[in-house]
Amino acid sequence: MTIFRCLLAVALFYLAELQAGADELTIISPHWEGIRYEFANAFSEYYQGQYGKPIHITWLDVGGTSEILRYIRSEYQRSPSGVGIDLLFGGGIDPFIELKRAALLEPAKINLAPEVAREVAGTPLHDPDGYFFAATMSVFGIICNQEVLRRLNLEPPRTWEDLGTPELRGWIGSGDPRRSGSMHMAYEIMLQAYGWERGWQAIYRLGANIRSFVANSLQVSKDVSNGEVACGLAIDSQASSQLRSLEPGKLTFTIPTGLSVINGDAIALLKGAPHPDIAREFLRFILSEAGQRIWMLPVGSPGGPRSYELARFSVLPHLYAKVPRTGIGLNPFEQQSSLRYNSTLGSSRWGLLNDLFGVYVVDGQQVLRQSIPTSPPLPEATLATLTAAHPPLSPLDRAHLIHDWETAAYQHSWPRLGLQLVPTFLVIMILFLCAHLNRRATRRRSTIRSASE
Amino acid sequence: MLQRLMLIGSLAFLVCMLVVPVGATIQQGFAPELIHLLLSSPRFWECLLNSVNLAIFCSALCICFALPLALLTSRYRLPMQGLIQSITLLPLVLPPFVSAIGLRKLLSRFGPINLLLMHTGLTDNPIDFLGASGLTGVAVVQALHLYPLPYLAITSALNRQDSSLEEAAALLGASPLQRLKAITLPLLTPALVGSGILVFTWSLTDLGTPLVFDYRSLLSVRIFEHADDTSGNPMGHSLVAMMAVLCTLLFAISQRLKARSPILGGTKEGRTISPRPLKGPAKLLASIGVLLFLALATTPHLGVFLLSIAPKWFMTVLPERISFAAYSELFSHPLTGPSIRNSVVLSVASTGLNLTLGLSIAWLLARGSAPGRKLLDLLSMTPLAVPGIVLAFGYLGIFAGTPLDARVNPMPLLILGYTVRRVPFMLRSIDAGFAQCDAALEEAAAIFGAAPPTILQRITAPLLAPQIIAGAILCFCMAMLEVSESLLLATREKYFPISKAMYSLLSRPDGAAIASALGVVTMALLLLGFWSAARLTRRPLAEIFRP
Repeated sequence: MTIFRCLLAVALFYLAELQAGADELTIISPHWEGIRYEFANAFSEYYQGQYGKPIHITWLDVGGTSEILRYIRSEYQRSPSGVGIDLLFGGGIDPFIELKRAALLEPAKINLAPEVAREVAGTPLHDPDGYFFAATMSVFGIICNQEVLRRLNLEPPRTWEDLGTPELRGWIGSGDPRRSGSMHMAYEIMLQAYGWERGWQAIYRLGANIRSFVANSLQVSKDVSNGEVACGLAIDSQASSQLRSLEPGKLTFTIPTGLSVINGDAIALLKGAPHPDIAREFLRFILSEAGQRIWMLPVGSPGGPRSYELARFSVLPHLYAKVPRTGIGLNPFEQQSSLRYNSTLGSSRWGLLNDLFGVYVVDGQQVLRQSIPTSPPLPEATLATLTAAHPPLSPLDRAHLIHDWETAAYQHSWPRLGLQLVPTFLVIMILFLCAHLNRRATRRRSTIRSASE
Repeated sequence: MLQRLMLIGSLAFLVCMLVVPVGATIQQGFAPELIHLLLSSPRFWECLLNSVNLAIFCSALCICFALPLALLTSRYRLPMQGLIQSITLLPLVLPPFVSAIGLRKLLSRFGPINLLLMHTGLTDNPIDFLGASGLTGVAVVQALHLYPLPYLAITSALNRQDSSLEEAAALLGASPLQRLKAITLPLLTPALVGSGILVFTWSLTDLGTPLVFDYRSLLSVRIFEHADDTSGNPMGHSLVAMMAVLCTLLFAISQRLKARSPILGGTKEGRTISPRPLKGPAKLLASIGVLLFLALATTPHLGVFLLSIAPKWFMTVLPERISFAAYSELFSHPLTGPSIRNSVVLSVASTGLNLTLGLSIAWLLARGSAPGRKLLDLLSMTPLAVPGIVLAFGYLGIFAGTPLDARVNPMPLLILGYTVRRVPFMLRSIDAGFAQCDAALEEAAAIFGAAPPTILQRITAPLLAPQIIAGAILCFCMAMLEVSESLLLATREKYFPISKAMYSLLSRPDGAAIASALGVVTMALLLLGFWSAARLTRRPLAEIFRP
């Protein structure tokens, strides 16, 4: 009986799925659920008004930007013509450049309205060939808990290098660059802002100070707010999600002058998108004033988000004067950044740099805490050769490469591993002791028994 | 004929859903080149040793928690005995990764507990409870979750002990301490080792807790990190193969120990020791000790509850504002509402499948005569040795591109995956029922001319009912909060089960409150489930949980 009822429940469940019958759109996105919810809502209203039909949006969640990239790549390897996903929404600019290079994007071919900004602080926002468009922007900086810094008697850090001072050991938060696109960008920015050699020194020192590399970059800002760490790497929206519920001055967001960039956060059609026309409609909507207002307006205001405050930057410069600003209250179009960020370089070495960060900084934190290496793990030119390799590195090559790096990074850690064996030895000894005692007891018992008989 | 069909059906299910996926992964992972890379990598050894040390630390902690508690509660009559015993089982219902959320908030360096200590002037600098390495935090949370397993095992072993042994020792003048050393502890060894290995395996393969603590240098976490990159880096398969080998080894050891250990003093006929009341200062001391421990054990639950009612909590001892908004949002929220529905559908379906499978396998083993039953017995116990993470990893690879592809719709695979993992629990529960109900009754009915359906309806079903219901409730509860398969297989939001929804909510700016509220609700649900399972069978839960 129960079984039939279960089967019935499952069947009903699928029937409910089938009967929807609306137009569909599948979007893969690292954006948090508030952004997904608001844009899905606003777009369905818009679509209903425009075409008189409901639209059903499916969001795919496979994790952060780096995980999405890996997922998309492995899916295209399996079915090269298309993977049943229409749009990639969010993740910065660099991943999109890389996907375009790998020919995994579909040209969107939409006309940008003249009021949409073409560049911010000297950095172009959209793809010149029309493959991807910046839907919003992010600025990279440092979020600090002033209360904790005061109690620790420490000066608030102003630059990336300040985060590496030994006094802050264990008090810095960071996400895992292999999993979070924004964290990867922060490290890439350090490398480009300081240059390869000095950049790696800054990253090594920062890496040694980091409490733990969290999987989700938003957790960094939460940890700062909780007082688990004093300062952390963040983009404006992550910081402002914590800032806004507190009195001003308790948490601060600092942008290192001349050492940070304002970067687009793009959206693009994936190759073989099953619903390209609806996807283009979504693009047009998100770049229109109605779509852009959702990023900026407070909850409940007309044309603004319904339930979640997104506090992100709009790519429409004229909107900043028109609407009340939420978030960190900064107009990115008034910022003068002296750092010219090279997206092509950043995107081409994204994957290998992640492997490098993984081995030498994230996994290699123990080693960093003992001593800071004096030189980068490998010369910049070597990395450039590896990224330009043709054909690209095979999975097995990659495994070998990572293995070689690991062996180099951990060459002094074998003795420590020996130390880690101690508990295992102890347990085995105890078990043997128990077995021995047990055997002795059994022997004694049988002696007593035979004696009594 | 019917028997043959049932046998073939059950075997086919286990082979398709267990042997083939796990086998395929392991086989890919055992490529000599990969194994060589893995074994010569210091990083692999670091993770392996960390995992093993974590499991050792966690099992040791568990035994340290459980042994004194079990001795106290079963040898002495304490005030509020019933309440203590039910609170002791509470941790079992909260998946450790949920308790980690609460603990992480309470114990952070400027968290409520540290602030309280600093306000009262007990310390000047915050105490780093969670430890920079994180291993301690993970081990403590896992131990606080798992100690009921050794506790249940030890209690039931103590209750089975023949009182005459201790009485004889007392008559011969042995002090209580000597009796404990010479009689009680040796007799407890099988229970200690058995439950120790269970905890060890559980901690070794646990994924949720280290993820919430962001402790990365563990085998399970590395497998999780590789799961979405199977085509970019082949090392994931090797890691899975290593994990599978490790678990099989542990399982084999525990089976061997169980087969070898004679049940000494565990007589059914002998008198058991009845608890004695404690007097004077001893009573006070014991009560305080037990209460302190229970306070520690329920700290994570308290933390989760406080988080669920605190929309704003910035560096103060208690939340600044209290609101139950998260609970009302729970059912309207686009993520939690469907996730509860998904989990219920998944759990009901997998429990149904489990019932069918469990009943037919148990019947075949207990009453059947078809050849191949030995194989069936072996296969149906194997899921105990296969961690959810290994199984899910295999499913991802082997079913990609088929109608069962988890990336399109994970529900069928989740149902099947949940079912496979719970086969041993269901089987053990029903098997115990068959063992209790005498075959002679059925034979007698058959002699009097009752047809098989009548026998089933009038004799077997009523006798088995409590066991079946208990097993079903247990399977349902475990499926409701399954973590590792759910995290790996569910990628589309509308198919998220509760655990994945909670994990995803935690990455939202204000998600902690709702995730905690979801945790509290499921906790209540599971508590109800376990309680009714225990009531129905009138039998300690230990019997169901023991490997």
